[in-house]
Amino acid sequence: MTDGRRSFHQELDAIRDDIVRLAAMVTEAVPRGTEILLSNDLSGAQELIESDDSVDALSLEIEDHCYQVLALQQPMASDLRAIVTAIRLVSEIERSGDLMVNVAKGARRLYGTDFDPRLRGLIEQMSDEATRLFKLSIDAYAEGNAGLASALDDIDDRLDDLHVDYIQQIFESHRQGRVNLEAGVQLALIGRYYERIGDHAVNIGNRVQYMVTGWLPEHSGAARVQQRAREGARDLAGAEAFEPPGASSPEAATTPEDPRPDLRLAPAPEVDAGA
Amino acid sequence: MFAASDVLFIGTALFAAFSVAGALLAIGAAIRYARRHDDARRAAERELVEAEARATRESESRRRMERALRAIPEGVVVVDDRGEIVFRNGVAAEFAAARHGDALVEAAIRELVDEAVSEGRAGTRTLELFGPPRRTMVISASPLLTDGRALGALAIVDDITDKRRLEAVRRDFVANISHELKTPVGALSLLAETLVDEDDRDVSRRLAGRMVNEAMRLANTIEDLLVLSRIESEEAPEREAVPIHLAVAEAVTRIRPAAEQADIEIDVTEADPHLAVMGDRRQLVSAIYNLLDNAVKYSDSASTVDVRARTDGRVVDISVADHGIGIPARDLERVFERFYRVDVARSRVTGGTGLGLSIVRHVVANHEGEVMVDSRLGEGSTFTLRLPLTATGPVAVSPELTTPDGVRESRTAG
Repeated sequence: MTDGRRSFHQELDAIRDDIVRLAAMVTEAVPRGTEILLSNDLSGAQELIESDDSVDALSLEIEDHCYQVLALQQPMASDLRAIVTAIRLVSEIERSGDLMVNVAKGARRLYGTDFDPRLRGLIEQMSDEATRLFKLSIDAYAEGNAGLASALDDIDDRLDDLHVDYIQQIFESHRQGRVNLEAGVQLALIGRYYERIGDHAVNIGNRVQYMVTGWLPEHSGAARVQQRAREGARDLAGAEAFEPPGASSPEAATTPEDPRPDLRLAPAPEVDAGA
Repeated sequence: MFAASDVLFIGTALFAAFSVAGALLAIGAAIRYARRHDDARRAAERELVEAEARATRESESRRRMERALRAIPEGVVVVDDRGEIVFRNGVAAEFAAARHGDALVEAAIRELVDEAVSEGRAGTRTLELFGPPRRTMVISASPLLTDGRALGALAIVDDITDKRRLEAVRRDFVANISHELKTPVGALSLLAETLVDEDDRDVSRRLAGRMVNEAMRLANTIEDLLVLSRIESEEAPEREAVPIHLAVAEAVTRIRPAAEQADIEIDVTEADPHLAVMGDRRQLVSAIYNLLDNAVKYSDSASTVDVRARTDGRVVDISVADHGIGIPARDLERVFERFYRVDVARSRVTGGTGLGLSIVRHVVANHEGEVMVDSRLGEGSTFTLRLPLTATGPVAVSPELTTPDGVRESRTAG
């Protein structure tokens, strides 16, 4: 038994290291893709697109490893959450890598277009911000830092603001005749890819929170659905007696070491909500 | 009776004799044994001492080797014949359990040493890490062989970022200087050739005008090269107390015609008249002038260039901020190189020599200062000269005065 557990934790560490490595490949691809885009580097674009194959290969490998561990070790509680989180993270990271492939393809379509320095500046800033967010999300994962993970949503606001400015600037540059419509649409799509990478980082943060605490931000939404259903049933009267179901979950969250609340994948109130 | 007692007596005597002999023999044997044992013990002790000395020597030599490996500035990783890591020096330890770019370095180390151990093959990989900061790492691994058997493998991680950058600087400098000098000379000779066979007065005049431009361009480049080499060779420039506000005013006066032509306003926040640095006045003015010159060249027309001087009591920061096209992040650290161009196409239009920022860098280096740049594409750049402060009078920490143009002009004159 002890041997089995130890080897299980070794497996878990190996999976975590692999995910950190996978994420590093994608985090590197973000500034690399931006440089390719801003310097009209066609061969660099091709290389980036091809290098995504190794991201795909590693993510498949990690996923298989996770399934194997699930099937052979049948982990429970926080161990189970760690494996499930790993599977989810792999898809988030892999998708972010695909987005940078899209940027590289956009760079190919934009080849030869000379766009506004202001747009270039905003692309550089969005890229920096997306890289930073992605790194932070992986820091949160590697450290099991639920606090940092929950802060990512707010940190992402800056990238969202930059994206809004960027779209505005595309309109502005188009109005001044510095960017034509085709390039404008391509540029808008590229901006969207960076913005999506930020969203994936936030998703990673949410999943890390779940791994550490067993609670997901989506649970608040589920709780609201449940609350509305109950309020409808109680006909307005029971409002003050109502105990928000979400409140019990963060409590379970504060004691992740206690095996009892951890035994369930999702906290009980939300599971009930479906019934 | 006799016989019986005799027999008894003889028996007793014999027994006693035998016992004595036995005892004597036993004692002899014991003594011999003890002596031999003593020898053995001494030999063992000697051996032990020797072994200890050997072990000490060995452990010392192992420790020495380990210290030597630790002192190597490159990352060193040693693995045993099963690929398990047995040694990492401090530099290499940073890649263990690393995240982001460093995790890729670690993965490359693993892959290469595994290859070296299992197949006895040496390998090298170059990793371009985009960071930020950007780095170039070379990881090489080779098997450690004894009698054809792999004892393990050694991996070395070398950060060649600086080496690469210096190579690029050298290569680009040679290419750029020949370009900068050859282009106007080539243009001049072509124009002159055309002029020889030209009879049309108007065309001749136009060609001659172009020749004058190209000749001026060449003269400017040579002039800047001379200034640069003079500043470089002047290790201890003539030192005097230079009031900051006067140096700024002088540089602003020199740039004003060009600024007015481009419809760019120079907004000077007047420095405290007591602020002064020890240095060569001509060099300092030329540094500020070069920053202003760039700011004007790379600004859109009808924009503003801000000049201000600030102090924290220890150093003084003279900053020139424009709202121009900005500098891409990857070029920021290279703009101070001689002849480095962010945009080669634009430099022909603006007509700079490509030496201005090199002059600035050398001037501040001569004055124990530094120059910093902060830039955003499309938003503008801010160059800051940071110089150690020397006050000529009492340094008032009063808020900086902003004076309207007219007042500043009159002060410059006075």
